[in-house]
Amino acid sequence: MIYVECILLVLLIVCAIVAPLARRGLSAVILYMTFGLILSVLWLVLESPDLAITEAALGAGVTGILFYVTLRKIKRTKDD
Amino acid sequence: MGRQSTPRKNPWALDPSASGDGRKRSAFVDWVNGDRILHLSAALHEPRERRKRPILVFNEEKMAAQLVQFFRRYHMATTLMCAVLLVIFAWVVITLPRFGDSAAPANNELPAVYLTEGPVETGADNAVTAMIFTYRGFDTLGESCVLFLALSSVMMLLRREDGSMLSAQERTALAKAAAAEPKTRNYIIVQMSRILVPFIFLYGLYVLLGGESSPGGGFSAGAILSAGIILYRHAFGSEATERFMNERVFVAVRTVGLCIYAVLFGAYILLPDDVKSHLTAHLIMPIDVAVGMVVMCTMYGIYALFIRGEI
Repeated sequence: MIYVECILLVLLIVCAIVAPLARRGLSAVILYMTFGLILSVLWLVLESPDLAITEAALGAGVTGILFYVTLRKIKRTKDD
Repeated sequence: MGRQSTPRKNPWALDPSASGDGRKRSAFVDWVNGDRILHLSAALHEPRERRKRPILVFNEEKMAAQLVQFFRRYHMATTLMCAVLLVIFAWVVITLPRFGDSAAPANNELPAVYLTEGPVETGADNAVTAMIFTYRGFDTLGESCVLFLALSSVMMLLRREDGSMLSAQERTALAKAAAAEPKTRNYIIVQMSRILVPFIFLYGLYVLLGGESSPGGGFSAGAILSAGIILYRHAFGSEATERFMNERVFVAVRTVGLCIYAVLFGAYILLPDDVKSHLTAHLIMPIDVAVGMVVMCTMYGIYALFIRGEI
């Protein structure tokens, strides 16, 4: 179990570093959602399922969608 | 003599030509909206009986000087406030017990009390839910209020006004945005959400109603339900969503949710202890549902306002 935890933590840090460095906005959003998903699995490993559910729904779901929608809006105003 | 014979011009007089849509609006409303400039010159040159000074005089030099003075004080005041806060925070951090200190009450007494007394006092098997909605109920009430106010601010900023208030430029931008929206829905998304959405709603309701005895509760359930509604709307369009989630339902649900919580928790705080001990076991579920309603509406509302500027 400790190995799974270590792998997840390394992935978490990689996602956190790569997300702001991504060139395309969409990749940054997807990396951010991946970060949320890994974090929610980590919460589950750390035995707090309440947080895991909320993180999966908010961090990996709704916030990512909001970022995506904002990105689309910005692109639309750029095209004008 | 001549002054008295001409009636004084009232700067607030009704001027139907000022408002664009022909509706008669009071000049004051127009002035507040910025559609009308007050012509004070006529009123100013006349002698005033009651008021010596005119209402609106913008002395630019004086205002600039005031601004300069304000900003000079502003920097000083902010620096002072930051310094005071810094000292307070540093002091708090220094006096905190060491992390993981077994002698600290947060590490030995509190969890034990919550875990042993919690189920008895609150009647909830899930310690987290019991904590959030009873011991820390006031905190959660504040969080719900923050969500409510955040959504209200987003509505103020992003909500599209009805057509009469828009300029021509804004109207063309809106038409462009409407044309850019895809007419045919993505086949994969529609088919997948046809299967997924019922299960997402079911799971959300399960998490909401099972929050008392299993992981979950209002916040997570609200997030899951709102994710379900967002997926539904993305797949089937806003017309289909408006059958069960239009603006009236939306406003009613979020307001009623917050009101239920405030009333119930206010009762919980103010009631005497002997009544309270019987009540808390029944209070968690309604509060849980109320929080779920508020969170669901907030998440969905922000999404809808971002997408289209209306619920």
